Amino acid sequence: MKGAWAWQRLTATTVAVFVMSGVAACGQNEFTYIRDREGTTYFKVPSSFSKVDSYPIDLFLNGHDPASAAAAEARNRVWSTAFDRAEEPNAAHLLGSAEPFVYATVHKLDDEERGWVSLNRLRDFFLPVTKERRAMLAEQAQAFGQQPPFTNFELLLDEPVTRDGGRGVHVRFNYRFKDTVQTFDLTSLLDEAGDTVSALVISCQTQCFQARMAEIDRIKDSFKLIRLPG
Amino acid sequence: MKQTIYHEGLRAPDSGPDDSAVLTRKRLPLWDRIKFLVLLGVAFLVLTWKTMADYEGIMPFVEAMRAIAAEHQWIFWFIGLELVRQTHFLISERSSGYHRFWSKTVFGGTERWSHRRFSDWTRFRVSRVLKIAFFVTVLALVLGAVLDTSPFIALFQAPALLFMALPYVAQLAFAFFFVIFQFVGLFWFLSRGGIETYYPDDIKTRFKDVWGQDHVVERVRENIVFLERPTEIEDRGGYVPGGLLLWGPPGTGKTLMAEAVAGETGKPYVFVDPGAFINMFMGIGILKVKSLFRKLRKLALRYGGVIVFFDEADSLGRRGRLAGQPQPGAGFQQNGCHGFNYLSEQTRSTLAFRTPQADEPVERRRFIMGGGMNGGGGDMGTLQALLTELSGLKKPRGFFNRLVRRALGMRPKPPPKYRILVMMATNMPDALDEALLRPGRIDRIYKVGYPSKAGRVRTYEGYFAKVEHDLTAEQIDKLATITPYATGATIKDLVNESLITAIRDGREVITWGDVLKAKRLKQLGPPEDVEYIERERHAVAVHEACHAVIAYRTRYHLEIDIATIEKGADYLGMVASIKPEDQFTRWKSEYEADIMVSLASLAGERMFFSEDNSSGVSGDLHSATFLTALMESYWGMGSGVTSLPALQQLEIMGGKAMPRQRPTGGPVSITDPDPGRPKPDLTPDVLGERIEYNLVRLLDKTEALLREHRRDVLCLAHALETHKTLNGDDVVAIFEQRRGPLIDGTVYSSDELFEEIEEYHVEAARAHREHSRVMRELPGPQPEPVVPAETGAAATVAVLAAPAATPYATPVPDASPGTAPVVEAEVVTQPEFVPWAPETSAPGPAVPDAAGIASPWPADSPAEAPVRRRGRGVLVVVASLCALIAVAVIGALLTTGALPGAGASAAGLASPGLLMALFVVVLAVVAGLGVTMIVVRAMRAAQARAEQDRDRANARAQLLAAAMDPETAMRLLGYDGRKDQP
Repeated sequence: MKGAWAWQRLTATTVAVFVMSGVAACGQNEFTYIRDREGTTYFKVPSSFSKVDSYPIDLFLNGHDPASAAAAEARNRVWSTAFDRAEEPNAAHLLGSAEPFVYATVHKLDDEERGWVSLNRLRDFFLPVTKERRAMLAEQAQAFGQQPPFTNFELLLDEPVTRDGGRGVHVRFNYRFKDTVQTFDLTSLLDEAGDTVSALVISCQTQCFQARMAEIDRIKDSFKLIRLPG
Repeated sequence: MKQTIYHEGLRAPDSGPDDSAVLTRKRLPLWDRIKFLVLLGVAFLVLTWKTMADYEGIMPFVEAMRAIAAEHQWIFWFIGLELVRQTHFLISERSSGYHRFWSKTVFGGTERWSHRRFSDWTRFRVSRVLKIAFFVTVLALVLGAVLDTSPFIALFQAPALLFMALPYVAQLAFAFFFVIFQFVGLFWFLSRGGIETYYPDDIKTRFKDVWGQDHVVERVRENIVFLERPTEIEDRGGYVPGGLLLWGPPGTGKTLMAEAVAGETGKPYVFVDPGAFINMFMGIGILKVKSLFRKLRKLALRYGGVIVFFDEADSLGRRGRLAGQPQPGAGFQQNGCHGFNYLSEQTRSTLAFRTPQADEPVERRRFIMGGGMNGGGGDMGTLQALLTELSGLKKPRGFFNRLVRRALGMRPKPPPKYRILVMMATNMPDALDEALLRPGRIDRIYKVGYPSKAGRVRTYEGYFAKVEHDLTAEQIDKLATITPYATGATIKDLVNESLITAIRDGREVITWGDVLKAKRLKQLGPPEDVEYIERERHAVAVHEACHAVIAYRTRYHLEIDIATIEKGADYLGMVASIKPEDQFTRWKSEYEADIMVSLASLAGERMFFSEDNSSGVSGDLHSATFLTALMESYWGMGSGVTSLPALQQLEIMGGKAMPRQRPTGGPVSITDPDPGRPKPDLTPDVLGERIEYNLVRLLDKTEALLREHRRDVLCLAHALETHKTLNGDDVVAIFEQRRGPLIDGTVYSSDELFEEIEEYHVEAARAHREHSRVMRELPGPQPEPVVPAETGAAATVAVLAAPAATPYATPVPDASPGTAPVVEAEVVTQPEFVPWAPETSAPGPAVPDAAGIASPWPADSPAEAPVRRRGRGVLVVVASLCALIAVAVIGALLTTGALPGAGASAAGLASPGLLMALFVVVLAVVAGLGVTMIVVRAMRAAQARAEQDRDRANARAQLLAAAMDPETAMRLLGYDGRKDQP
């Protein structure tokens, strides 16, 4: 009799678990969860963001010719993804958009890069942030007799970050690009072994950024490195 | 399916309970209802957990579940399918209409097909394999999802990852165990083999295939019933007999019976090979025993019982001789009528264990067994391990059960009841260890003896049913009678030999004659095609006739089976007897008759050849003396009563017999004979004298009997000389002067013929004395190898077929022997009868013909073949020389251009040098060919000669062996000295 009661309880529990999980599984997820190729870096963006092709951004940042061998080699070492909140998602929205844009990348460093990587390098990982870097770029532009594309740099935040065994920086800055002021939020982390740099860039026009600060912070805070046990 | 009614309701496999009458589906246990759902739920949770771990800190449980649900939809498909299935089952359990619709209409065909195609066991195994496959599939899918790779690869990657994830200490421990596993693996491999498991439908032998052992089968069947339904005896306070020993002579169907057990029972059957416990290394046997019993326990629990069969159990070895068994080699049988059962326990043990010479080897053997190789089977400890395992089935088992429970202060659970039926078969029961046979290990010991006559009849019928034959029931009955110690194996062999005999004669159907011929061939071997010279033939015939006459006149417990003067492999002639019915006791009168039959040859030879006698009686005298000695000293059948073996055992010498007081019977004293008493008769005192006295007495009696039946002796001798081999019935027919089945004995009622026979004997005796030729032809009708078609037993003793058609009314008194019709008959009919037989063997019965075919006696070939070959060789040489000359002439003509018309072409074709070379080549080739052929032919001839020499040498050796070995002859005469030895 007692055994029968135990069995009934077990059945009831099983059915309940199935019903609950079924109900739970029926809904739509609030976030999209993203992991890099190796599974070492992960974060989440709200489901309202759409995924866009991030390869043009990679090319823009490293300046490679898409047909070059360097570009192909970089493709092996660099993983990236991009999400756009805009109605019509576009990779160009990274540099100027009224809606938030998320760009994440993971670089495997080669030996040379491993040698010179530093917090300043991490700050300059996306756009020139440090004074030296900005000065150097300005000089280069002057030398070529060109107007630098990004002007009116304003540093809003600069703090070191230690997260999941990795360390890095979190910087937030403004740049003027084609008449609009864009705010960039960069979290740049070097993993514990010093082999990989993971970076997350969230960009938006300044007003938009201020309006959506909470959402942007949540995305930024979800950016994590995996830490294997042992 | 044919349904057989089995003993006590035992059913054969695949005839299981019929559930066609059940209206609804059988209710599933709850676990079976939910197990797949639980499995899939667990898989789902594992994947969810894995996803949460992947996005550690940012993904809540619900989100993870949703992610998995979106990503791995197969889980929900499976869950849905399982839910549908379970709902279907649930409705089937409630609604009979619904159940009928699905089980009969929808799945009925498949169900019936699978029942038809596969047995219940196979269906069970298939479903088990499918379940395992499903589990592995789910596991692979889950692992694939966890490891982000294909399910197939994941299945192999997972263990490696698991190992990598182990902490270092665990890895070390694993490495340590790996080293141990190497040894374990080595011994595991060594302890494989020798044990085969059969599941109930694997063996098709049934109890109905075991013939002639009904009483044992009935008992064995009972054991199976107890195994199948143990509660019947256990509820009443008894226990299930766990062991069974079948022992008996080889070929009596022990193994067949065990197979039938396997075929008949619904339990698995484990067959242990006789060689299983003989191993290269010591200790493997113990491992084997342990693993065997582990397997048995597993099977017993899983199938509710198991049967294990040790074939040739004597290979398990022994530690000593069996208690209560006075003589190794004697089996369990006591020579007395009651064994020792009527004696007190103390007397019994005294009798059993007094023998000092029997005790000593026991001790010695114990040490020898430790030596390893010469232990006589099984290495040290194997038997002990077996004994322990057999009695250890009731002890608590298992690591957890015994140690962990004990550590927790709990009492170990008693073991479940393992239903293991141990069956053993051996033909050397005394080679088994006493401890093995104690009740509790082997509870029941059955003798599978020679089949009874009814059993033999059944066996003959069984085997004859498989071939075409025209034997009547009476003939089969007769056959069973005249083959008293036939076993299943020998009967099968005899039937097969009969079939071969029939096929050899170009017939499809076995006749009675084929059977008799086959029996004779099996019994005596092929007779040798040796012709005696006449005086020797007569002597042998008289010798055998004396045996036969005395056997006929005195030996009522045996029937004459066959009388022959054809020389076989190890005898010159013989009179073989058989028991007309199964008889289990022997009496003094019978032994005396046996002795008289043995002595008949000596008495007869002395009587008919004026006190001369041959060495051929040596075997007869040996057996007569042996029997008399045994009668006198063992069986109380002589003038004394004392048992000589008992005296020897007690080391009391002497053995003077105290004559019995006729009226009352008196005290028997060995040591204190009354010296004052006068000897009432001439009965001697000393054992040897007593034996001689008895022999002489019986010899005199025999001689008197022979004198009285002189006519019978001479007539039978004549018939033997005429026909060489006679069947028992024909021998009797000659004595009774009536018509036998194959020979007409009425001819011997003629006094004229007897006179002739008598004269012939006188002449033969003279020739014997003077070592000269017998100057007289054998009187009477000569054998005629014509066989009328209606005589079924045509070929057996074909020689006297003629009387069937034209019986001899009166023999022609003055006609010279070897009359014309006989010659005609030989000339006309012989080729038709045995067209392929060599002419020399024609007068004999058909058996020598068969032998003649098997190894034709190369009588004429050596003389002719070399001549022919030489002639051919000369021809070849001459031909090649001619060719040579022709080629030389043509060559010469060509070279000189003398050949008209050829010169131009020759000059155009080739130079003279080339032609010369060609000429030389042709010459060499032709000469080489000729030489090769001559050499090859010479080699072949030499080979043939060598083979002939070898055959002749063999024949000589056999002849010599037959003359030298009296014991074999004695045995063939119907006395088995070894068998009669106590």
